[in-house]
Amino acid sequence: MAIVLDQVTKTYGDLKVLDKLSLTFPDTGIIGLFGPSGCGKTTLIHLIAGLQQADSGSIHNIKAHSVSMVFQEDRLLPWMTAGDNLNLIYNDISKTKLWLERLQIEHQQDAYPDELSGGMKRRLALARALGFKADLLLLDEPFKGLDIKLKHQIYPYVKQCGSEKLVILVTHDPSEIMGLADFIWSAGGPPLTLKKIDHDLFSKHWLQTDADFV
Amino acid sequence: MKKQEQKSRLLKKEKIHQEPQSAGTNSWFSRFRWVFVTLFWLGLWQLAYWIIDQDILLASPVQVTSRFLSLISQLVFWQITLYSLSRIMAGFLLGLLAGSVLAVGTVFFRPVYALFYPVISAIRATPVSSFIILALVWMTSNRVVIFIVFLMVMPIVWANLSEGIKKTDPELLEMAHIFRLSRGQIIRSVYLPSISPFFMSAAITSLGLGWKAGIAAEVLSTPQFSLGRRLYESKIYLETIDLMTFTAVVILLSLLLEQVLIKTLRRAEGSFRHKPGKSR
Repeated sequence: MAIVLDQVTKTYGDLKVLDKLSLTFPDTGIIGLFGPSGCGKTTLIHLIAGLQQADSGSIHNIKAHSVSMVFQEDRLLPWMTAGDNLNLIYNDISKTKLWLERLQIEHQQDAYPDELSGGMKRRLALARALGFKADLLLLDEPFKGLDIKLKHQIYPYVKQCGSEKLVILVTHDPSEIMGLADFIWSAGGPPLTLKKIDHDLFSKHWLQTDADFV
Repeated sequence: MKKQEQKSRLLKKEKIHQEPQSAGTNSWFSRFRWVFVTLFWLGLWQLAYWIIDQDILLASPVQVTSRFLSLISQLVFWQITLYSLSRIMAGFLLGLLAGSVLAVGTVFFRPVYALFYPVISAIRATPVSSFIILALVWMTSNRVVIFIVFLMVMPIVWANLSEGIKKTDPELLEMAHIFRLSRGQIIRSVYLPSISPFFMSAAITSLGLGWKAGIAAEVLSTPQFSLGRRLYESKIYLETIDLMTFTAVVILLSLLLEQVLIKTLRRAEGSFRHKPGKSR
């Protein structure tokens, strides 16, 4: 059952971040949500995750979906080792080892988060979300601090998720959108507006923007 | 090899929190510093004794030490100490328990907070002597001590733990919610490690205050077999040597209890920080 937003409004003080937003998400596939900072992308995925409540309007079928998420912050438990941070969620040591290996941090299994580099912590947060069994995967700037080679090594796992369920990817990096997204939604605002654009237009636009910038 | 590196990194981190060693780690002075400090203050005390030169006003360290040695050879001294310790520890443990339960209640249930906040504020503002005198009217002398220590400990534990619970990182709680951790897992893995420093500081502070208030309550309520009663009798009969010896016993026991508590709590706190490789 598709997730549907119906006339959803969300405000912070005087700032209207979402204004009667209505949209329908596909059942599977990766949606690349791309747009400037502060336009309301994170608010949208927090509403979908149930971390915030809309002021008005409704989100349909959300309760039928279990959610997994990579937050903007790593949100690791600082008093647990990398392995225990994963195993707390999985409750399965072999699965924990598998995902630590997949994300190439198996040698840091016994390290605490404050002993890991920013990139390693990000991979741990990614491993936690990618391996967690859920119907919906929300990724809020998931590859922050990772080099291009590592990103490309992780892409297949995200694509695998996208073939089985809905994945919403929020990012500022056009290469991530082009490398992963099945659907590209360009965001503007606030209040948040979403425009569906095709891959050719998106790549042309960003090549042009890069050229202009240079 | 990796594990050894991590262990040494952890040890380095722990050392940062230890006392700075200004005179150099291996120097002769820093190794025996506590001996010099003790000798300095004992010397000053002896000097004051010689200057005052009146046993009724000030006993000498030698007199106090010899009285202490004679006391520890008597069964009644150990009975007194044990009874005082058990009364004060009973009040302390009851205060810890009630303060913790109340903190959880007042943070998560607003009506409980509204109900108890004025009472706890009143307890904190009331002089301990008022409570001791009131309690003397209400209950037996043994219970007065337990009650007074309880009243000293409970508000401190309540205030610190409430603060600790409120300061638990909401982002970690959101993470726990998203990944559908059970209530037990959230308490064990998020709340307990977050509030443990607050609990530790509350327990150590309140033990010192509770101990002093408990002895004061014993002085006023004079239960049989109590350090407070011996202090009171020493004052009445102008036995300054006994007064100072029992005061020294009270101080030594307070320091000892504090050390035992710190070690116990550190061990408990360490158990929240998972040992590498031992998944739970």
